Amino acid sequence: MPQISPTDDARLDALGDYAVLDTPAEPDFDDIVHIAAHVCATPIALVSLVEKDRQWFKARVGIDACETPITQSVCALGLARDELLIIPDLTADSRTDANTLVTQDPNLRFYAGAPLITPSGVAIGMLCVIDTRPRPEGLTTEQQHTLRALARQVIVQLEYRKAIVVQQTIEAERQLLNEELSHRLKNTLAMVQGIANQTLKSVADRAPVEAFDARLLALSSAHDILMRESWASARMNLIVEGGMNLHAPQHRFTAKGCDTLLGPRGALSTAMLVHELATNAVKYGSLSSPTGHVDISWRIEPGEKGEEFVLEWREHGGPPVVVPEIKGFGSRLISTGLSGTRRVEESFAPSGYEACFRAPLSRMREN
Amino acid sequence: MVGQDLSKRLKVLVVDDELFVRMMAIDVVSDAGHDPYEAGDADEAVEMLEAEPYDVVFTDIKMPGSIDGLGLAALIHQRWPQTHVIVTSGHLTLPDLPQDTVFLQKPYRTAALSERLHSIAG
Repeated sequence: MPQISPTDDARLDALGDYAVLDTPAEPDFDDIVHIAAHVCATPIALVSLVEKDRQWFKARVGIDACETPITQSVCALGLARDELLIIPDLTADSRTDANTLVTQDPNLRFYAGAPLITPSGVAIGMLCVIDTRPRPEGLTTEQQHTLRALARQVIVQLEYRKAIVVQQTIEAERQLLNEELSHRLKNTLAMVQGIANQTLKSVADRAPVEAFDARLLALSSAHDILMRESWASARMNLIVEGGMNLHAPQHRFTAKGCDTLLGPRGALSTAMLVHELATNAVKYGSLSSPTGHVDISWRIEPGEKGEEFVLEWREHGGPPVVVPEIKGFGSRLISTGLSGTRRVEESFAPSGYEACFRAPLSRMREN
Repeated sequence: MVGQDLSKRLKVLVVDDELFVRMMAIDVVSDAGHDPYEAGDADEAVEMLEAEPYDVVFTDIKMPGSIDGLGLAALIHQRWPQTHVIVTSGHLTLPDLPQDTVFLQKPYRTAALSERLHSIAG
């Protein structure tokens, strides 16, 4: 049997930890008072939390007030002991015969309460049932057991509530940390962009400088998508669409595939690949003409060593394709493939450039 | 610059505590045919705004000093309503901004800034 702590401080601390005072009614607590009133056949039942100067009702049936001054509290009398407090006639008990809730409206007569005892043994209030007529017979054994059981359920609910609050606090802190991290990363990327811009200012050939800037922005955009999911994963369609939006309006490309989540590395690799493909398409391929289009699709296929992720890039409607003579950095990135697997099939058919990339699904999803 | 002749040449105050980031913005402003001015934080920007009018203030959010870029945007909205404000930041979620304030997420496309200036210059 737990020791009941009689001190105000312990009780007030415990109430503070539950962060429940003055919160709105909740069905789980309302259910408990309804069951208590029903089982004990009383018009009134309360979850009464005893604070320093008042008792506040988390749940109530049969009474309008949501709190009373501590001087009117019968519940406070029951906190000292881990047993039911039963007063068959409040007018006949010296502790309650002067209580204004007894001497005046609502003229309370019968009281039975089970203390609400926290897991660390602090009584914070009572689950009580009250009648407006005296009940010399008190409660049956069955009713007493039920009242005690329901009092324990009140604590279960309060603990559950507290766990959720703790969880929400952790989640909020994590969110804040993620925001801060994102912010710093974005600022660092902006600085890298600024440094490159200043350092390469005098370079006459602007193409490589612009290519660098575009790659940096593609990387930044892919990070945005990852950050929104707290770096855990990114949806394939967001990665593809986010990457394409930097290069072409929506009607110039179609992005279709199964709804799949990529890990951070897989997501960044895909974003950079899409960026290089789109850059080429805008410069030389189907997006260089006003009518050309790109179809991007992806799927998951069974492979020899488990499931495979397949990404296909198909250009059409552009100018006749010319096989590039020099392999630049962009082409090298493309031939590196998804997550560096080098499993790339390229086709420079006159109708349009096409490429198919493969990687183990597990690799695309790993952290 | 050719093509800028018909539109207004803007006085643009660039406010950022990061030197390289600020210098890049200044280059974008002058390449777009406008006149760049610079401040290292919002307090310095306020002093400059009190001394003479600017058409556009392009400001970062997170900066040292008594007010940040959001405070600066709000102050400009109140005290210098004629001045256009473009806010930039690495914030992932769009912050609460005064009406008509444009937001560019960092790192931004240089063209995005010059396009904004162009539409303000009309």
